[in-house]
Amino acid sequence: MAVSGGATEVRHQFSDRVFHWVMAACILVLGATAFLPIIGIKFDWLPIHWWTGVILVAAILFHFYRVFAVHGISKMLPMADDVKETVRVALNRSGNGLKPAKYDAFQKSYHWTAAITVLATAVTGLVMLAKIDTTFWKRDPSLLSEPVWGVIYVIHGLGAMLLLFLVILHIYFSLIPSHRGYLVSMILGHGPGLARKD
Amino acid sequence: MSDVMHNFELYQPDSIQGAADLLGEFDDAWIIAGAKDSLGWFKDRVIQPSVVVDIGGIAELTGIEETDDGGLYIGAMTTLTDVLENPLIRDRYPILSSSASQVASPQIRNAGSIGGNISQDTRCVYYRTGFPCYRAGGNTCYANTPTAMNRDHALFEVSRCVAVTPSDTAPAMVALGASMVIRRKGEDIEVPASEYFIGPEIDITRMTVLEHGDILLGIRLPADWANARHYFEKVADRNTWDFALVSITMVAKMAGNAIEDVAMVCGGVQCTPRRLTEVEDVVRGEVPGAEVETLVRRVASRGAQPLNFNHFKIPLMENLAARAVRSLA
Repeated sequence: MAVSGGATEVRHQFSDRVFHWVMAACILVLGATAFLPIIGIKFDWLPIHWWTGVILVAAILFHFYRVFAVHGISKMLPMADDVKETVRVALNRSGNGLKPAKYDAFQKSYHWTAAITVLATAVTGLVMLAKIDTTFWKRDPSLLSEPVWGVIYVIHGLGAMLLLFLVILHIYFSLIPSHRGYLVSMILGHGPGLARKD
Repeated sequence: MSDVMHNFELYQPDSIQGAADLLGEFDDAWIIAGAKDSLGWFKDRVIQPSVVVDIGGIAELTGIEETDDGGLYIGAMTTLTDVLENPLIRDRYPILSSSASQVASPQIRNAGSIGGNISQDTRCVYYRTGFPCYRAGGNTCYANTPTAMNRDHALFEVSRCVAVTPSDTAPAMVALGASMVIRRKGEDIEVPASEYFIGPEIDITRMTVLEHGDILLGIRLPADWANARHYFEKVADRNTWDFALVSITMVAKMAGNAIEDVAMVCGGVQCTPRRLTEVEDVVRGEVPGAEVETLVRRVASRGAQPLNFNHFKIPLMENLAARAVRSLA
């Protein structure tokens, strides 16, 4: 994909867009099945929750394949210019001289925060599957000691709450007019090739 | 381990509104009716509320009366002895008096209420003795392990927790199509018995829809199954003062020798009374006999997933269902 500032670039390829929306749907379903029963809306949430979690893990593996075998990870790695950009925004300064990049410092920050949170929540969720009987396996709660299970549950719970915050943040920024191009590119593919221009 | 009870403030309101106000005022208020279940919790020191609201003195909650539709209304605080001895219930709903007569012991039936009996908590030994299990707000089930004591536990609809309903009268309520009248936030609502009891998949910490602040006012029995044929049988380790391992409750209408309509509910096999709809479908329209009983045995426990030590419940359940159908011959 050519990197330029044009608005007609293919910013996200079809398979990456499919991954994004599958992951988004999974996160929303997981959030709904996790939090609705807590606020009093009772239903049989567990089967929906763990099945969706498994789908999310499959989607994450697909994303890993795309990252490591197709795109490479370089565009998402934090660079010195990302620090400079962050400092400039924090100090309310403007100025040029930063290298153009497909993702700016804030998009990278969001991605890594979300990625780490999703991974922590998904991995602990996978371990928690050992606590339930399914068609495919029988529960084995003795897999881990009680204190370790406690840590697993705390990480899963904290991750879920952080994800709730990140989802709200993400939806908000995707809907504000100045970011409309990114939202369109995640639907249609075409959009701004660069988030940070020279 | 049982001990003396903790200290608590005891309130004994004489009106439903007074009880509702108290429940609204204190966040950890614990409501007691006959207190046969609650006092066990207190003496075991597993539950220690600072405020206890005793609704036993509210006259409005006691009594049995006929309703305009030919059914009955039973106040939630009506004692089990009054239920089983009431002539209207004996005539129209003998299944209810039969099941009430099998609850615990005469002394407990004299003090225990029908509302408390259907709403009582599970008897899972781990939960009752204070293990931090799912039902107690923890993150594991101690009864569903290879070496756990789980002969009393569930065969069906397990969702992490494997506890079962201990109530003898709850299956009768489901079979009779009863409705529970509940005072919730100042309004009276009616909940069908089939929805009143909830399993762990819906809420793992409760066995009924009752929430903090709710008061079960009474039970409405429709006339649908009045004077129908009935069958109740409870199998327990002891003949008195014991909870059912498995119980079967059936009401049926006959058309000549054939079964015109039937409702069959099994207790002690899942967290809620289990309606045996497949058995009902098999026997409806049939003449009771050996062939029908064979079919009943085949379908009664379909889908059962026994734990390590409760396999015996499967043939028990199948035979109880067959015996219920045999009683119609």
